[in-house]
Amino acid sequence: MVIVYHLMPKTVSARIDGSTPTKEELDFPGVEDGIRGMAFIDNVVASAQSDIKWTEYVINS
Amino acid sequence: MNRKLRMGMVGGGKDAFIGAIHRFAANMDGLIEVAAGALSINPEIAVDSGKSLFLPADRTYLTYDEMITKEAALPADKRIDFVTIVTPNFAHFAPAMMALDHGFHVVIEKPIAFTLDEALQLKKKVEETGLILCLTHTYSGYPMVKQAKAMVADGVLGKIRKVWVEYPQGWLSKLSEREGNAQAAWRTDPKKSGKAGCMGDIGTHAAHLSEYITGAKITHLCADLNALVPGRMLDDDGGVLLKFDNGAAGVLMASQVAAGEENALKIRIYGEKGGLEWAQHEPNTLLVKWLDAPTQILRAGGNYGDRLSSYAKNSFCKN
Repeated sequence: MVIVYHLMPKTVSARIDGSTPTKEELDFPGVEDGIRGMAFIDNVVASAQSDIKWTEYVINS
Repeated sequence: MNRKLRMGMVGGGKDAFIGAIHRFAANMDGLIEVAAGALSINPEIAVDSGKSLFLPADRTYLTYDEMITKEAALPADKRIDFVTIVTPNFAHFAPAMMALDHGFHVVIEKPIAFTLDEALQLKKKVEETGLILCLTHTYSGYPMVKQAKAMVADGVLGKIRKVWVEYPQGWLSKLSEREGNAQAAWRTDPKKSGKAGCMGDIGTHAAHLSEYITGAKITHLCADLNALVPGRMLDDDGGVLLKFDNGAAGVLMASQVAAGEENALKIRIYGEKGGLEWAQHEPNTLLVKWLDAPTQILRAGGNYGDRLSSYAKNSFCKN
């Protein structure tokens, strides 16, 4: 958690200062990771309810 | 930057667990101050929590709506820079959308939302506004996790074949949600947590960590979910077989009824030449195992010449 509040504020500060954050500072989870997390939940629940062995990991809205 | 960033919190009042962890973490590097809060849906707790954080009364708000509207109306040198949302899953989306609409960056607890559809709407909003959204898959931020990722990317282990990720906790071993445990109550309630319990709460962390370190994406899975404590409405345990797009096979285990365990997240990744092992209980250590040489113990901040990535060399996890 500490790290989230280290990298993310550096990126926000860079935005405020008009500077460019480093690649390292930008390496925190964002909305794409959130979408994969929600898809993981959907796919795991679908798989658990299915009798088919493998469920394809899909991102369906 | 010649000042601290100003954070406004949604949720995380005196009765909440994760809010205090966020404040502790935010305070650690001295880059952030809590400047405003809508800390509880209970007005008394919201006010009390504001007092205990020494928030000024006029920036202790009773609703997130009030906080975002009034903060947005303050001059730029006063208003918050970003909003941190630490409410239960069902109450992530609305404040996040509103904060982005009012020009605030957002930190949001995982899982990002209640449904995938909400997550997709948030993506659209982030793209429209150009603002920053940070999701607290916090384990991907540990220095030695980043070291592991760098070593896999550099091909140090050769082609990755196998991923084991396990996340046992024991705190839901009893039906605590019926015994007044507020944390347990919302996490095991499908109306507040979403369609999964344990897999949403900690399975998502394990899946994220496996994809983060390997740089590979899960393509197929085979899941077994269980509600092992009688009377529980959502899964409190599960095992998932994984296939990744680089050909690797994986096993993901998550449980909140592993009685006696605290937060025993651990990941092991094996390639053709060797393996890596990282555990949250010993976060500054990365074990590197070799097919034809003794195991190495790498430590965050270690003075090993160029063996550590710059982040792992210069960072040390303090909690």
